[in-house]
Amino acid sequence: MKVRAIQTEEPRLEQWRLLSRYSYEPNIARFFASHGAPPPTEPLAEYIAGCIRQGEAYFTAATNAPLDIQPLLLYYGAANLLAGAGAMLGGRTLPIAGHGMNLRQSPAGGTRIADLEVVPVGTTSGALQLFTNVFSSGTTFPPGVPWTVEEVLGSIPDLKEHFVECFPNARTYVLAVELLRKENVTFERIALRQFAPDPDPRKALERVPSLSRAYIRPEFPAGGDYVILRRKLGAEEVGSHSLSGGKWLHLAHDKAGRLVEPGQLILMLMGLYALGHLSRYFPEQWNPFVRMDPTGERMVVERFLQIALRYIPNLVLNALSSERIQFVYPVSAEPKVEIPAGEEELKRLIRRETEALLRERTV
Amino acid sequence: MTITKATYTLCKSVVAAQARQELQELILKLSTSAGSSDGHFGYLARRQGCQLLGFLIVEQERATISLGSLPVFILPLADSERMLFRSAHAEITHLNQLCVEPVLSRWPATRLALDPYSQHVQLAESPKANPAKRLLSEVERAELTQAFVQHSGVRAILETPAALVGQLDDNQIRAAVLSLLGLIHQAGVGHVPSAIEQLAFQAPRNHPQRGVTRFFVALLSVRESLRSLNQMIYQAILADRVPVLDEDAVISVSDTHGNVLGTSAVIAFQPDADTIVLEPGDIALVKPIANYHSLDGLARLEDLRFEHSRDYGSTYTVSTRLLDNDLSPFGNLVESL
Repeated sequence: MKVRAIQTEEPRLEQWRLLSRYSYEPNIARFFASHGAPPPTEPLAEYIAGCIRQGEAYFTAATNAPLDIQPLLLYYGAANLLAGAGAMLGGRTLPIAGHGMNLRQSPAGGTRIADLEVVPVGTTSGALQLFTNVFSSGTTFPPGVPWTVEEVLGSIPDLKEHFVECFPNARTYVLAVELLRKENVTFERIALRQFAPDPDPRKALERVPSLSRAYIRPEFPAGGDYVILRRKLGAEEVGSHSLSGGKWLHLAHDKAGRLVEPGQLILMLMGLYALGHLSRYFPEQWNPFVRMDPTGERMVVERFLQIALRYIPNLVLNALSSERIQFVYPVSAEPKVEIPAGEEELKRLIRRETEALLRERTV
Repeated sequence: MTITKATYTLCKSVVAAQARQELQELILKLSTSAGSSDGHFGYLARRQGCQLLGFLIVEQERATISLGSLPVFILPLADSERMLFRSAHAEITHLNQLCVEPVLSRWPATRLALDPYSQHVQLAESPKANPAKRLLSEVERAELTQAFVQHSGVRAILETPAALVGQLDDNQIRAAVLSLLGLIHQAGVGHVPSAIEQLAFQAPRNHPQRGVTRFFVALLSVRESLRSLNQMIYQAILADRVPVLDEDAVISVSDTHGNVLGTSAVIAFQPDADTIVLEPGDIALVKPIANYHSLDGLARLEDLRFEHSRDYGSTYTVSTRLLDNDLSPFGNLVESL
């Protein structure tokens, strides 16, 4: 995916400025035309504009809302935004009837937020599957097969550090990838500690969707601390990027014998649904958590909400523009003249020094 | 049928031959630390760069080797082992002669120049094939020799007027061909020696030097085809398939050149069980990668660089010359002169 850097001091405002273009019918019509679709009907344009406006309103309200209601506002915001953007990308309103997921306490017990389970239901009219069809095409949730909040939170790249700190023994579903360049060849590597507590990194990598289509066989150098991944030439990139632009690979979840990897946008929606539903319908559990943090999960939950607040609109923008939009702070620095500007300049310097040496010898 | 195709067919028959397994096991034994010479025999033989002949040379020269700078003691081969190498090598050299028989009949003095082993240490006694240890099938051998009749170099040699080079003897012709080869190697993969470039692009079509050079280039091309053929047979003894450099291995392709000599490229790849054993002189199959490069066919590996680090993994970077349908890396030059 093409990367577009946008310089701004206010990424949250800037991303909504870009999204709110679609609160206006002419811009929606232009979007449809650029995708080769017929102009939207008036009700469709109004539906999209309304969804985008409400999405922004919920997100704005959530920005300064207390933890008591923030997850619910964010879930409503995300659901509206995905409904509007989904209608733009699909060329019609999605036939949504219900959330498409339920929240339940873990049958095995457990008092942590992380023990709660999100159960996908209603695969034809539920919002979860319908959004997934648009934003993570090809992914199907086996109905009735639960996802714990722990595995949902453990699948969000930007949350990994806090997640591991909070749940040191839990399995994570994302791997941070380092990009390296050596003699014009870019390759990637993953620190083996990223796989913890998974005992077998080789087995874990098999759960990365399309890994063999994107990469040459992973290399595990003897005694090394990394697995080396080299991209197949001309192959499409797999994985996702975090807020900071870092690359991540996602491990699929084993659901009733099927590997499912819905992508971080849908996973964040699931996480927001769980927390929003909990706060709205189970205040007896949510209130002690907000006030006393008896399970020690508040830090990771708050961090998750901050990530959702900032990144969901960004990911939706990416989907609409087919670009990876990265908001960067404007910087201006003088180039350091003593450092060669690149390979060509380095070659020129080496050539100059070599020629000087040869001249000395000749003389 | 092209020479390449006939060679593939011949190699398939080598893989199926009974003698192949014995040879394979023997080479493995001499090349691994479990063997009697701690792998030194195989290592030194491979360094000769002349396939099975390398093993016979090491055995013949083992007394000299033991006195050399390397503190290596090479045990002699058992009679049966020596005979196995000698027989297979004799079959291969006999095949080479059959392939260039039309040329040798017309120009007997080209024998040394066409022999891909002529610059190596000569064996004290000429090896003889043992019919009980046959490696090459007669039918496939006949198809291959038939295919060589269409070799562009063979045709160019046979078309050369006798007056042009008729007075040269074996050694002069061989020296000319080897000096041409030396020039090409000196220039490196991807580059054309200036003398050849000038002749190809600046000398008039009827320039006498052009005809003479074309004769030597044709000899070189045929010689290099035989070298490739012998290498393919040798690799067929060791492995069932030619190592493949395709999208599952190749990391980058750079310095791709198509010039008067032929096609070449620098290929970096991540080694696997099949390709980690590759050495300069080996042949690999380069497959095209959609939207990236269109190189397609057998290639000879020349310079090879191996890099390994615990933090960055392993890469091989090889300079390759692509072989044409005659198994020659220099067939294009014959056509260009």
